[in-house]
Amino acid sequence: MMKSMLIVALAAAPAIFAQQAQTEAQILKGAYNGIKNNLTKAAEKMPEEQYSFKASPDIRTFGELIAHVADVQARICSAAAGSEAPASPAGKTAKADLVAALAKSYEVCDGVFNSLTDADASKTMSMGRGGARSEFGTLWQFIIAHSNEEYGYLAVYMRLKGIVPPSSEGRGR
Amino acid sequence: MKNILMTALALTCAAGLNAQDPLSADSKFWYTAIKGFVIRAAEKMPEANYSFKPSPDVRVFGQIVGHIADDQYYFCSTAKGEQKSSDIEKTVTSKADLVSQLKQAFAYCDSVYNGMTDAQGVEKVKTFAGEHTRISMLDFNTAHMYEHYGNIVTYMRIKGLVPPSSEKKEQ
Repeated sequence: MMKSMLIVALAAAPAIFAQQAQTEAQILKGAYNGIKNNLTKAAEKMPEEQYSFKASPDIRTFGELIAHVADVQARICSAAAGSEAPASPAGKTAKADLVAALAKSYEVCDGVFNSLTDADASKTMSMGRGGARSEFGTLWQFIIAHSNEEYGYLAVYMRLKGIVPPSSEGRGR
Repeated sequence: MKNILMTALALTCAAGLNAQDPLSADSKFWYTAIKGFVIRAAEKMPEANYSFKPSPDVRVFGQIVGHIADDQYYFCSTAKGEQKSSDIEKTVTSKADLVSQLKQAFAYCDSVYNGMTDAQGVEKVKTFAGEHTRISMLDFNTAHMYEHYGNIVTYMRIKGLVPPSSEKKEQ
């Protein structure tokens, strides 16, 4: 379940980089598209009846993890875009609602990531507390690293239910 | 899980922004945040659970630790322009040895992250998937660790252990 996410992301990158000089903004976008693909497919692939599954009693259900990712992504990308965040999906349990919430968060984030240039590397953003933060650093942490961590949970949940996570399709693990 | 974000936010506020090398400073910052959790998780998981895996077709806990160490050597040496490989995942099984190997891999990567400037970071190096910038290798390394820390957290929870990133919250 592990290395393939990175291999896919890296393998996809040369086609982009062959056309133009590699930039930090493009690296960020490549990493974003990689985890976006895995999370979107994971949410779609997990059967509705498994959305209430959790691997142990004291952690989030699969559906709650999807809601959490969608919520964090929508809030961070809305802050970066200077727009109002969409309604939080917290409390929703139906697969269709949660898949839609995740897609909505990616709609907001697509707007941010698609417009990134290297000039934004020195740009700061506010999240309402803690003062100004690097926009690149914030996007990288909350939309790439955090979402990868959550995907790490989801992959194990899927394996526990006998389902191959998207990043391992065709590989076994 | 949320504590990683809270810790990162607090650290960000304390660290401020590095105006001279913002890209490499961010890269190092998030690496340092996950590094502490991964090492503590490896130390906290009992030796008996190093052979645990939640389903038949995935790595045992110890293999994840070894895999993280192996890939750190790959990503960090590539970023540095060296060729350094290891086979810890397939050859090391005891907790003591894996924790030691993990720390050695982090020590190697520390030197690479610490020495990276923005100017060096955007230089291209050869990777297994074409040419990429040095800093992208470091960022992929960090993202890779976050993904596997997610695996580790779930393994620990299944075994009734609180992962390091949730310790304060559940005290």
